[in-house]
Amino acid sequence: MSEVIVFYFFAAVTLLSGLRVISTSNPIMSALYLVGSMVGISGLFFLLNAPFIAAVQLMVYAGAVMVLFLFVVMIFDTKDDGKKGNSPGPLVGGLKALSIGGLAGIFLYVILFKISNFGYLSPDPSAPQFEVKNMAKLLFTDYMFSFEVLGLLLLVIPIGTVALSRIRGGTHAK
Amino acid sequence: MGASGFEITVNTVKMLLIFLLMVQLVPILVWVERRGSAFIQNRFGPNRVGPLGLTQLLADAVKFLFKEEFRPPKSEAFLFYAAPVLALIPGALAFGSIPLSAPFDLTWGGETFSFLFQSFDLGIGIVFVLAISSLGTYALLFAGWGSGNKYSMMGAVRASAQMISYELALGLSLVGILLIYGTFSFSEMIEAQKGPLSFMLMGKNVEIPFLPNWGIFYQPLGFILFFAATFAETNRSPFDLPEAEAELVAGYHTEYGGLKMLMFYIGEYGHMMVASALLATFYFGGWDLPFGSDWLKEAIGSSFLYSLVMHLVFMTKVLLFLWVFVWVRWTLPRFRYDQLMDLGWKTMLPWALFNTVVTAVVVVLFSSVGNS
Repeated sequence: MSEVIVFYFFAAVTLLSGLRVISTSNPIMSALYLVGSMVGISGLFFLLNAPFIAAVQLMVYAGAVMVLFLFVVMIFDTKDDGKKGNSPGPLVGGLKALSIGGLAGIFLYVILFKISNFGYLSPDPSAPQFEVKNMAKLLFTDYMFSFEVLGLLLLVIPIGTVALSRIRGGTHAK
Repeated sequence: MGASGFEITVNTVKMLLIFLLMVQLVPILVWVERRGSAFIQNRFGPNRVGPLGLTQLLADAVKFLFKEEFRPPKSEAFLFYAAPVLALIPGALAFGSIPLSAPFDLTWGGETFSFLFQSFDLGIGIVFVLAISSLGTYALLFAGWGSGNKYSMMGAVRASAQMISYELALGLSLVGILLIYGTFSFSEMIEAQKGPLSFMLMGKNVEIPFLPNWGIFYQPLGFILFFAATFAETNRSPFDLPEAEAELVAGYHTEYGGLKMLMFYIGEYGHMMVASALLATFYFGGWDLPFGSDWLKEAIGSSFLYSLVMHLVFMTKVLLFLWVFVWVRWTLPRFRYDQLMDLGWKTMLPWALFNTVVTAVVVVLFSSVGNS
């Protein structure tokens, strides 16, 4: 029973702050709501008996990525951009509303389809207690190839960043 | 939480007590900080209220409570009030997941229950602490942005840049410890550090009976790096650029006063306690005594009393590190900003990487402790 209450709490936090990310006009507040959404997702992972994923979600997304986002947004002068971006004409506004509605509709359809075919997801009480060692073994045996490919993909990102920032005087280019 | 009513009650009481332990240590630490700084600078410090000035903090708390409630007109109300609360949460959650003593048994209604001397054990130990501590930046960012003051914001931006830079070195310096013990769990690490120093060298078991089997003998470089990085993560001097008063008034808490200011202080001391507890757990055997803890367990008999005694042992180690935090703050001058970034990225990160690689090679070659 208590698990259900906690689930609905975290689900509400995730969805409501996710909604506020796109509905608020202040970019700083928008980024902070995104952090709230990340924390809510991490709470859901804890409930699903996956503490390691939950902690990594907190550490990587809420702790590192979003801090960098905020860091950049705070330094930029965003006061005018906020007003411009959120006071559209009837045509642009209508298009925005339509595209958001369409996207939400697709997600809703997928979720309903999934539920009707597979039933609700819930933690399996008979499943063994989560252990990091088991996950590490899987990662370095069965999923070795995808793990290495993912590492290579991440390596491309810093190389690309360095290459882009070095051409034509880098970030100080006229 | 537990199956029976008794288990749930004990666990709830335990959580409350551990949180109160953290909060109640703060006045004593503030006293140590003020008297310690006075001792280092050849002054007297607060010595009028109560014996040795110990009740000075009680008087201060009353003063904090009765201060005027104030919010700058250009601030954002929600962020401004949320920041001090948020400053408390990471320290409290992280401190709750560290084992403070040996597990103990209690008998109720003919049944014996076993309890851990910590608020909760998630089984991922250090990963959880790192994840929760990384959220500590948001309290500073909330305060900096919510105050509507450019000095506050500069302080907050400095703090977040500093914390991100040193989190890398902090995390990497711990990889050596993880490789040696082969676990994330604090309890298993403490278990591995029991007894005298012994390890496998060239297929032979070497034992040094007069040294404890502590992590510092396996990871001296990791200890130095972790120790330095925790100073940066707790925003203590010599890394206290987020609140450099000569440049930024008081940094992110410029606009705060009274109890809200006090909550930032409790948060900072909470981070120091977590850092000291982690240092004691990783490198100095946690709550365990190096010699004679088995004899002590026999002599005391009751597991609850033994647990309390071991808790005192742990707190002694933690308080020693807390004193080092105070000592360093009043001894070393503050870094310049470029020096801070150079130290983090060009000195500590390469050394932490070096430590990781060397430890990995040594663990494979010698297959030393706890690697079964």
